[in-house]
Amino acid sequence: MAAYLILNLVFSLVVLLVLRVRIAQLSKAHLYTLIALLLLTAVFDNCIVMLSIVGYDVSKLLHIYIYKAPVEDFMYPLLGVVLVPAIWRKLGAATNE
Amino acid sequence: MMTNYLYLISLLVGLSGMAIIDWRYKLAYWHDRRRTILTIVISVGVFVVWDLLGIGLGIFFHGDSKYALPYRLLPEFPIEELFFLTLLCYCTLVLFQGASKRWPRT
Repeated sequence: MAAYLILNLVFSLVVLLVLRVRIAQLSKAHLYTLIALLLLTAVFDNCIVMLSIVGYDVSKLLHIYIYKAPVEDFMYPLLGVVLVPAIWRKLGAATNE
Repeated sequence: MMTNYLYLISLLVGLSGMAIIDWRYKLAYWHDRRRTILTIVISVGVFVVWDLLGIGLGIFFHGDSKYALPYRLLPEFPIEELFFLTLLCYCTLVLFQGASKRWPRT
């Protein structure tokens, strides 16, 4: 029923824990990047769904859609906006500038 | 015949567009090449695991669209997916770097 949602929540949580992300690290830059990515995802995801580039087992979805795009898909850019800058930052700290 | 390549081509167009923005403002690859490559490789790796879990649980699958290539790297994991995940991560990085410059932490 909610397999996709559960997968996305659990996976995101594990990644956030492993990265030891703290809320304090998030900033306006994160927010604006997220907004842009959510808009791009809304467009792009609908395109790939409508062109049958991807298919879903609907019994595993929540059946909440942004037009034809399952809402669970939006967790990808949501995690991405935390994950990618966090890795960038950690790599910067590692090479010790 | 060419229609199968349209998805891949649109992904490459997207990647090129982000690369031009990156190059123009020296945001990622043209700021620190190694750091960018590592960030993208690691991030894409995380998303690949996520995708494989979704495929493994039978949540999503390759749609057999005439706009996509029939080649799979793994069951239900099309070759375009790597390009898509790279675009997602690269786009995130470039946008974030740009946003950080425009709205720096105070």
